[in-house]
Amino acid sequence: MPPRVISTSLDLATDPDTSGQEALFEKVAAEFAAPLARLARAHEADAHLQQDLLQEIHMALWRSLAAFGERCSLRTWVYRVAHNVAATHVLRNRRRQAHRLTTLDEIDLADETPDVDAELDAGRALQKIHALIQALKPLDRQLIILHLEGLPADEIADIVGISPANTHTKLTRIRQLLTAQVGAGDDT
Amino acid sequence: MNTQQLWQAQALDAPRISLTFVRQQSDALRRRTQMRNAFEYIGGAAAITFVVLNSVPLIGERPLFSLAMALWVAGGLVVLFLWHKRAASQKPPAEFGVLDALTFHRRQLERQRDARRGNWRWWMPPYLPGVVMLFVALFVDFTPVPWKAMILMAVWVVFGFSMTILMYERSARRIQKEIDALDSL
Repeated sequence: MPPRVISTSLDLATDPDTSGQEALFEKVAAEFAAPLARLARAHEADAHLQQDLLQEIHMALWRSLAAFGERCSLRTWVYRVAHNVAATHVLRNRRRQAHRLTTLDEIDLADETPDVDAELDAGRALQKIHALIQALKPLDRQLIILHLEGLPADEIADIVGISPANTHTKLTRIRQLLTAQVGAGDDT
Repeated sequence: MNTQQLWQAQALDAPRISLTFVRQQSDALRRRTQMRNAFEYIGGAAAITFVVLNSVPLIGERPLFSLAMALWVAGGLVVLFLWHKRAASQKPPAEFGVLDALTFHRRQLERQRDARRGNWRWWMPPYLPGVVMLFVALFVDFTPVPWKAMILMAVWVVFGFSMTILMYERSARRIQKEIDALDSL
């Protein structure tokens, strides 16, 4: 299926000063469309708000790319900006959330019984992962999403802003939780 | 299929947001912000112009009254400057880590709370010379002394200042609730 394109019919003149920024944005929009959509979906259950969040992330990326000086990789930059927008979105909408958000450490592994059927049903497994993510506090949410996106621990630490040692500890906990909740293996 | 593969296999119909759309949205946002700022400046300039225009004809015949108005305007400008210094919103650098961004968000809330809580200590003094001079002007420049106008003015000043203090304190309490909610996340 070709990707849907959110666009307008306005034909805006290209400013030569921003052509580098535009090329970079086109690259980001093409390369990170799916991860950013998954990120928005993980943070926001409501489909309309998901769309708003996704647009907000792209707006922030567009503005931020003017300052991108290759101090880090483009992927790290994109995830930092996107996760910051998503974390702000969670904070802004916290009054709408009926449940109290928790940390990775507060979830009791002993209470999680592996659901053997979930291994056979990708839809149910994904539902459980989304439920787990949306129960977490913003920082832990970012960690689990970045882990699921397959980023290495050091890059996750760089994006989130915590020490690599702390990141490793938390990732171990995340793997245990995912195995306990979904029952599927994890190869990193 | 492991959890990472499962995760990455979803959202195959992820929408691609076009550059044109983002540029148009970004321009619209910038225009809205510029317009809002322009309204604020125009409002402030109109208020100052009103006071100045009404004071100019009185410079010769009511010098103290004109001086009182000038002190009000000066006090207003000082308060605007102090407010901007203490409460103007700051933007985090885009490359912040997520943890930094959350800390930044909390600090911004604290900054807004502190700018409001007990802020009469810094916004009231710049206005006081104007208030005092206004009463002196009414007493000295006008014959007979307009006691009724002075009492009404005193009531208006006390009421206005009290309402402003209450409004800011209420706003500070609301922001404190937001900080508490943030801490409980």
